[in-house]
Amino acid sequence: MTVEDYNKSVNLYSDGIYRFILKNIKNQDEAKDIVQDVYEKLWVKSGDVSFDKVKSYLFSAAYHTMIDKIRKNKRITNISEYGEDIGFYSGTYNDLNEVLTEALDRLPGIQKSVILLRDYEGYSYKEIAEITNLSESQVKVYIYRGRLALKKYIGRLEVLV
Amino acid sequence: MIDINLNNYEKFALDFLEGNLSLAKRYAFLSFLKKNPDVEDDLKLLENINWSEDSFVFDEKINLKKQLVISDNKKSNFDELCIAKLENDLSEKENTLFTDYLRNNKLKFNEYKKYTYTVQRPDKSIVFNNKELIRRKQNSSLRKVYSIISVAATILLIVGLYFLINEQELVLQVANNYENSVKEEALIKADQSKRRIESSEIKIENKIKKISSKKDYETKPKPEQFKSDIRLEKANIKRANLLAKLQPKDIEITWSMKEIELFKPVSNSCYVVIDQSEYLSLSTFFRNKIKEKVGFKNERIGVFDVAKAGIDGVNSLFGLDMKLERTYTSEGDVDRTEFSSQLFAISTPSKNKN
Repeated sequence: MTVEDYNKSVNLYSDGIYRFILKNIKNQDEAKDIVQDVYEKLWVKSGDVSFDKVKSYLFSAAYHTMIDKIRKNKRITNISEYGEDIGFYSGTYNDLNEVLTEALDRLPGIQKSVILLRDYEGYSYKEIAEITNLSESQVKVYIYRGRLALKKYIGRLEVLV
Repeated sequence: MIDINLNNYEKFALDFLEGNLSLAKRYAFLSFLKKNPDVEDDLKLLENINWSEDSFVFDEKINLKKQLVISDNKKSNFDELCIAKLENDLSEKENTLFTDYLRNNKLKFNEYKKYTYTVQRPDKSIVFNNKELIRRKQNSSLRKVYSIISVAATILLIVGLYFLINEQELVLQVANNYENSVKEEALIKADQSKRRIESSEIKIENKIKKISSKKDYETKPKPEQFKSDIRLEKANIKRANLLAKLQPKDIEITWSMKEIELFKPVSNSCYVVIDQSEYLSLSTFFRNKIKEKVGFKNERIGVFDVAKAGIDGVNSLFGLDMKLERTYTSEGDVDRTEFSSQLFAISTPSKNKN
């Protein structure tokens, strides 16, 4: 990858990676650190990574760096945890985004990550599986469980809309 | 697309009855049955077969069986279908069927709508502001051009210098290094000869002085104790007179390389030995060669001189008219260095200019 390609990847993907990480860990400074770490890794490996694979490489590196940081900070004990009932929203609906954000934050980390990769970046099951080191079936299951939990949390839609 | 036909439908039939077919296969099998009513009749017969004499019946079959798209019973796969639709995992036919179902069922449609809200929309206002920190500087195209020009110029200069100095001379110079030991020996001998000549000259001068004062000496009374000394002195004077008549013989040392002159006659009577170690070094050789060819007067030769020599060499080699010149201030300091050729010209101020 040339310097031009590298800088192009900064323009194209750094915002997306930052958003993805920030949504997951809710800490701007750490999210920025992770983005910088990831691009530093990319620069070191720039000879091995072609431009058409760079997005996948960046998100994969960002995801794993984030997991390492989370484990280090002991924010959550088990990232692979699933099946947790996130409950349902019992307040009054003022802002759908607010409710969705809250719902998303209640999801287990892995479910949140795969849903964000799917919705934010439009990755296929296979690509998400590569990024997260899961099987395609696991990705499908996590997405299914995550959406089901989010839908349950939203609860009574008629009040919202 | 699953192709179920009269040749392969049997393997799907049993799975269909047992509820083991996937949604897509189930739909395909039902389509096949519609097109083939005979097979459908056969299958109905199969469904009614009493497989065991005891006729144990599992009453919950209906709950185990998967429905083509949806069903109103409690074990419906409605949620699965909603998510599959959101994720674009339904086939075209499944999607059409499910969409029709939702259109005709408002309650279910509202349920599905809840799922649509679970799709996350990226907040474009969140951006990474430190892009400049992670960007890498690019080599400008101008810098690349300079690099290419530098390499080309270096090659040209080397070719020029090579041409200027002559390949044969270089080879001889390198070969001459192997003869250093022989030359050293010759130098020692030459040095000894020089000393002998100098010593002889001093002696001759002394003897001449004595000869000139000889008359005074002979007129004075001679003490007996000096008689033998006088005889000896007379013999020495005779020898000295003979030595005085001798002319120093030219020492001619012939080298395979005439350009390297280790000995230079400065007079008839003595030779000067040029410092051998300095002269024999390759840098000294180049320096002297450049001086000789280009006619520099300065003792020290700098990069400019070498470059100028190289360009002269290139000019001679290719018949070009490139020029490398310096302009000077009124105080005599170097003002600018200018290079000009038919293609382009460069002028750069002197770094040492105040």
